[in-house]
Amino acid sequence: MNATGYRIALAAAMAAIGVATVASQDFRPEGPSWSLSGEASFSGTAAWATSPQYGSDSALELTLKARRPGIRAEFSGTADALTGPDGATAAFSLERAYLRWSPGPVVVTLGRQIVNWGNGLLWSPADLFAETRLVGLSPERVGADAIRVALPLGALGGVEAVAAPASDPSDGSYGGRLYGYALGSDFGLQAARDGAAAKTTVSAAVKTDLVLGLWAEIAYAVPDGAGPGDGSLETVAGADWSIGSWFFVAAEYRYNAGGARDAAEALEAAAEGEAYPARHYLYADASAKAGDFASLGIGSVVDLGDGIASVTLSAALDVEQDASLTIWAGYSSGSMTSLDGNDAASFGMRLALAF
Amino acid sequence: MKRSLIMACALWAAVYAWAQAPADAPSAAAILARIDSNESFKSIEYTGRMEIRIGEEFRIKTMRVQAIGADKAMVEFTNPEDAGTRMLKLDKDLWMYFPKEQDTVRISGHLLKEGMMGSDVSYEDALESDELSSTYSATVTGEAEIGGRRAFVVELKALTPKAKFDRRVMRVDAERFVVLSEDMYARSGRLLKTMEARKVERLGGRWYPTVFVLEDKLRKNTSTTMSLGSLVLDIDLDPGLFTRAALER
Repeated sequence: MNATGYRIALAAAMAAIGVATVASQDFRPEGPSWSLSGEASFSGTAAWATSPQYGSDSALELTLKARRPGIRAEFSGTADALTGPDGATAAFSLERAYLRWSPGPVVVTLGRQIVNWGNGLLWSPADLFAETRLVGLSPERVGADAIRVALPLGALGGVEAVAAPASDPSDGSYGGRLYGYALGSDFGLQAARDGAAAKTTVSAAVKTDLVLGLWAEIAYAVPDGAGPGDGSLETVAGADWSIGSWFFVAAEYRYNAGGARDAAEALEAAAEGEAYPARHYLYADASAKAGDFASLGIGSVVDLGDGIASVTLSAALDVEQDASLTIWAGYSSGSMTSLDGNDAASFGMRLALAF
Repeated sequence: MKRSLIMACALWAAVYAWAQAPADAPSAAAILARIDSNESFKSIEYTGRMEIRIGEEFRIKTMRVQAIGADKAMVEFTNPEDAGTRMLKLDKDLWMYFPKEQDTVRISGHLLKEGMMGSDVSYEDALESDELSSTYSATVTGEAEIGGRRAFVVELKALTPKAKFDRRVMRVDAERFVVLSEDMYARSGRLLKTMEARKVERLGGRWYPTVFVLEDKLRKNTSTTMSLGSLVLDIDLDPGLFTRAALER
């Protein structure tokens, strides 16, 4: 810990307030007319770290959904106002914007969408098109610009083909998936070719329930021109368990054979967008009900190799019909991306209203 | 000696139950068969409204439900907070789809006993598909008046440990053979749930409860009122609706 002061890291806190919305009506999902719904939320995060820095992020997120039989569209975007030692900036991000068309059994989805192929919480190597990240309190998958065609095989299985093209088609990503349910387990087999990264990845995922919920994923990536033994292995195993409806706990371990071995490699990987560049990680979260309208939670990510940990405490309140408020506070003993050991603290709030 | 005592007690219980039963009451087996016949369907479709009361607070969930027999069902929540969340039931298994994450999760194990979307209705309640007559033995133990209607009191005892409740006490409309109210008990004798039908409608030649109140007695001061609207029975539904692909559509 740097004793000279406190810097603000833009890592976590929030203050979320407000939200206003419009109406939606005709909630019949299969009715002849369009049905509309959405959610708006305002959140704020502030963070401090051990060098004289601070930062904040005030974000307004809006999600709009429209559907009628056979067609579904969704738009979700976030506008952020960021402050930090270098001043204030604004940013906009488009989380999802897609159109889904389902003529008969075939489902075609076009646009920025979450291609969810895995079961993992914070890490999901089986997801060959969607990265996972920790946003505020919860891990979530990031949308990919893709065309996706899905076809069912029986009641619980199916095949999918996904193309995420680039301006040069050879730089695009193209993949497929076969999934199903057998012996009390959900499983998926995936493969994809990433032209820009010049690699081909195959992956498998399985999830079952043996009192504990258990899941495992494995992915093996082979760079162009490399031999079969020169690939990179990544695997995740996790479990969850609950007591009644009032306590829930989950834990997940990730091993990435190609992960960074030192800070220099970590920074290199972080520059390429890898949020967790090291080799061994553990993620765990637990939540407990505190009455009928409130819950308390704790989540933690640990870089086992470098001894860096972050922990977040949260409280969520069901304020009113369709309105929820979440507050949290977090602490990190260092940066997961740069592997430095500077402490950081953050807090935040989020108010969301569905309409 | 011990065996003789048990047999004597069993005989006494049977005689007592027979003596308590109304003289014109059909047999318990016949009542269960009439209930099963009345409440079973080839297919069903309705819009549901779940009014969850927790103390003085209320939360409303709305949904559209489609089902074929007792083994295939698709539920789509339509209230703003849960819009697009779907449940697929196939036999004894249940999958939930969460649209924001585009994630499908199988609900299993003891989670099935938990309240669905914060209500007094458990996933297991929603999954229950066994006919009463194949899961419970029954005895007519008396008569009661529920909401001005004559009812037979029928006690059910589980025939299998897999039954959802060890004992159930039903008040069954003596004319329509609809369950007007019910108390559900654990093996320990603890009251777990109660149900009260608030509205019974005639649909295509049969009587069906369309508004009923469930109370989970393990929770404090809560109840869930379920209302079924636009209910139609025995219509043609596409089996393709009851697939994981349709769940994620």
